[in-house]
Amino acid sequence: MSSDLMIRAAGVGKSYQFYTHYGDRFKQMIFGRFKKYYRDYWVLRDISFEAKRGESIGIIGRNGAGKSTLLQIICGITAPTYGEVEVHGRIAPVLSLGAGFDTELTGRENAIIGGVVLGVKRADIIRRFESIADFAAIGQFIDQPMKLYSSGMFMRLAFAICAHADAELMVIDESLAVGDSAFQDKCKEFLHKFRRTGSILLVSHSAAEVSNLCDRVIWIDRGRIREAGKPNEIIPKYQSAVHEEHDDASRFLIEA
Amino acid sequence: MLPANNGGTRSLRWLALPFTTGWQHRELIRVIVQREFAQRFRGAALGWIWAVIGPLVMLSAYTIVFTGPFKISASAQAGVGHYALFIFAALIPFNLFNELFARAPNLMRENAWFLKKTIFPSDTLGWIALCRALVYAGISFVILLAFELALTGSIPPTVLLIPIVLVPYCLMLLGVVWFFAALGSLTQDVAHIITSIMPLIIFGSPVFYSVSDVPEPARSFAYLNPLAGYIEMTRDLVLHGALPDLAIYAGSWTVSMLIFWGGHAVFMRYRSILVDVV
Repeated sequence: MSSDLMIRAAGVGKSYQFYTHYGDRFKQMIFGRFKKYYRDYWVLRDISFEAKRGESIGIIGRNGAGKSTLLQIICGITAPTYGEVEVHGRIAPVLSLGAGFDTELTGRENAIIGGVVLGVKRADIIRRFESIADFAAIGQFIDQPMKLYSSGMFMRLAFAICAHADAELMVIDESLAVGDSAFQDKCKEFLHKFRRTGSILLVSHSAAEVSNLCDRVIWIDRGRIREAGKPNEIIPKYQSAVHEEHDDASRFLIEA
Repeated sequence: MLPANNGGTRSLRWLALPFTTGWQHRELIRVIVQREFAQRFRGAALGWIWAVIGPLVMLSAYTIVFTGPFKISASAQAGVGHYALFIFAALIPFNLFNELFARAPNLMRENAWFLKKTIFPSDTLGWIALCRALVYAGISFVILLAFELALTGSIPPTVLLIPIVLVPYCLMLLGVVWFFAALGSLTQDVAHIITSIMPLIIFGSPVFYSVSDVPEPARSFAYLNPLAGYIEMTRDLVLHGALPDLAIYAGSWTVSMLIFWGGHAVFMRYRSILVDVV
């Protein structure tokens, strides 16, 4: 049934254009059909997968493999160079640090803006605010400018807002690792409850987290899906592969 | 939706698109405009008073220079009433344009942290910039009316009609913002070009003079600058108590809607790549 489909990515590719000179970008716009002024960096190529409603997917891979870009494409923050992405349902992205917070404003003000950006009505966010503050559990800091926050507090608030956004898909980008274990436990408890009704898309370097929370794992290597399947099959393969590979710069090659 | 009229509904929807997306995100626009003001006046002891003092000082200075002991350009005053009001009534719409035009090229860059981290409908940035600028214009406008009342003893009732001019003007400004926000994200030169040509635009617009003062061969071309029509119509309504010239009014609407839809189309065309560029 198509109504059970949460995410569909069909042959998604994403390249960033690297320009030597800033002005080349403008030349490309005008003379682009005659000459190419940039070099491509393919972050993602031919990514296809589907996720059903209620299914949770972990994405693993080394730094620069394209995991975060894939999440950005799924959230609609950036457009794929080719291919198609469909998402059916409201997304709450807990993307890395920051999550679009304005550090001059207090946590309370940012929570309201953040909630409205996610598509929640302003009145609803204000009504749920006590619950958000409880979840974040950062005490008096909630009414202080966010420039005074630690990275853990940032993440606590970001997660708390997303947890109150009536989302059907939680997109989480390595952010759980920032919290202390008490907060991580709280998040995991929430996510386990959330999984009954919604889907999770999780990028993480923690094997335990992925196998604990996800039904399926997609391993991305240099922008391509290397393998996909059950967590207990894929994660050991990934870990031994990472162990064997050298950690050098060859994986960040920009093509001419 | 009638299937027989599919092409018609589609183009209608295209024309309505900039409005519907703005309406859809009205709460977002509201909280972000509130944020910008909260931010601006935070840490300033007098807060909002600063927003009033700026235009107040400017209009007082004009009044003193043009009606006080200096009596500069007595000839210019003939037929235009109070020259200070004459200039200030033009400066309000001009500064509205000025602020948005100067800010547009950096709009995406200023909000890059937001665009890259959240699912943010970037075209609402245009509405947000407009609302912000309108608040300042509104403050100046109230000060203008207060001075007008103090200096001339009355305000013409046509002031109530100002929305009929303001609405098309705002739509035109939105189109300008969208267009230059897209262009400015792609190359930083745009911001520099705008800063350099701004002084030319103010002298090319009837701010310190009236279109009727312009000698004939040039006068016919004065209204090719869309700002000219809006400035003159504002003066008509606010100072002269006259209704706008119908031909100029119709022409202004036409140009404004073309700029509005054109700017939005350009922005939406490049929107997906702009996030990667800024």
